[in-house]
Amino acid sequence: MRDTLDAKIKVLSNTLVEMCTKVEENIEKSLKALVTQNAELAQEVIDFDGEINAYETSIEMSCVNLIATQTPLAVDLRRVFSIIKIVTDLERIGDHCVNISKVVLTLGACDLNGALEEISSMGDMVKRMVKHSIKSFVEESVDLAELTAKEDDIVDQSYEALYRNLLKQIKKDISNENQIIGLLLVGRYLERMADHSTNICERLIYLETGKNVKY
Amino acid sequence: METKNSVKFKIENMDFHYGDFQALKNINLEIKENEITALIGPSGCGKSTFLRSLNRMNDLIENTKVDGSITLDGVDIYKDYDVIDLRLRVGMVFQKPNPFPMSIYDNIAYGPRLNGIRKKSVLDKIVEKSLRAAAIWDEVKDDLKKNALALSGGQQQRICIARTLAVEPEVILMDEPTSALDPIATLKIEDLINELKKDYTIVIVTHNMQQAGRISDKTAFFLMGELIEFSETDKLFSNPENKKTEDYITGRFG
Repeated sequence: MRDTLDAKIKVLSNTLVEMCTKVEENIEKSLKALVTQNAELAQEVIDFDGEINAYETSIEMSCVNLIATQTPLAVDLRRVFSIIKIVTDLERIGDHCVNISKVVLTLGACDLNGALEEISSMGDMVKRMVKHSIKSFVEESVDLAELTAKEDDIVDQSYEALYRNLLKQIKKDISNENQIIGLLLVGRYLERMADHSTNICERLIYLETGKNVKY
Repeated sequence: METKNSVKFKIENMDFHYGDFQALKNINLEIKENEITALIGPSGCGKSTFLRSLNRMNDLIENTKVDGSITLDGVDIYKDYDVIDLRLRVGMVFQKPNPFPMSIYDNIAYGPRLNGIRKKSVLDKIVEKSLRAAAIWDEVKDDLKKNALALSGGQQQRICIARTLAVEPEVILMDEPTSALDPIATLKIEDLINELKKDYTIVIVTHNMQQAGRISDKTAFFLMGELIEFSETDKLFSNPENKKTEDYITGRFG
């Protein structure tokens, strides 16, 4: 029973996974552009963001239509509501990829005492978090969602360390201030991306348990 | 999204009178093939009259008059059709399940027999095919001689749908087919209707707005004999064009 609703929810979930794949690609590219100082790749990330935004709009519209016509209840309602919230988080993660790419375009060559490496490893963590948060949603795994959400603390710590390292350097040598501020921003964007992944994990926990948890 | 399905029924400038009372005013509407079209509106809005005019059930009521035109695959059903032929192509399922007081088998074989089919092997095939298509075969296959009136309401309604399918119509008209059924039986019929869409064109009158939302591709909203709005169901239920539609579907009507 409820074949139509089930079919529509399935299409919705598949589209969400597609959107997530696109976002992951853009995270990957923006970090690569940063580490390899590749302006062309950074521009590619910026140009691609429109497609991610289009996914958000289209999924939102599908959710509204589904609520209007299918009267989803209980777990179906929680799922549709979670998807509406998750696409917002994914879209914001996409925006942060654009922000990082814009920094890449203005940065110029720089190597600031290992800061790029720190950012790169932070980026790997964030990539994994985004991937796992959506995986937890697809597999409906509360365990994975909880584990992933907890990784946010490690990302926060990395951001703190990066922040202090860069602050020290700016004190030592003011001539690099543009680069340092750029990298500080990148660190901040990555930290925000991890927060959005945490939100996605929280949505899954809400979907499965009906409880609103905050990490 | 406008679908590419071809037009099955085309209704142009249609008026309908019961004596002096005008029940439908200048209706213009296209019903597409292999789509589910839902008709909604408050009691007395004309939606059932409209539905019944599609296979000329209103002919049975004295002193009625139809103006304008209704064509089925381009042929005017009020001018160029024998009403028996029309009803073979355009079947109907009613509000209350109304199986004939006879066995399940005979209910389904009734129409084909009227059409002159006598051979048992052919009838057997038609009965099985129709019951399968109406998603009730598995429940009744071992008991085809049982009186259809002994079945539950939901089962009876699926028997009536099977009976309609047995004469292989192209269009199925449904007049509140689930209003006498419980929620589970209702959802079963809804899934069935959705399944039938692949092979048939379906027009359904429903008082249950959520049902129209759940099953239909297009929805027509009638009010006091006028067609107020006709559009994609997604659109009509999430962002209707007309204030009257908005008021009705949000329960702020009257």
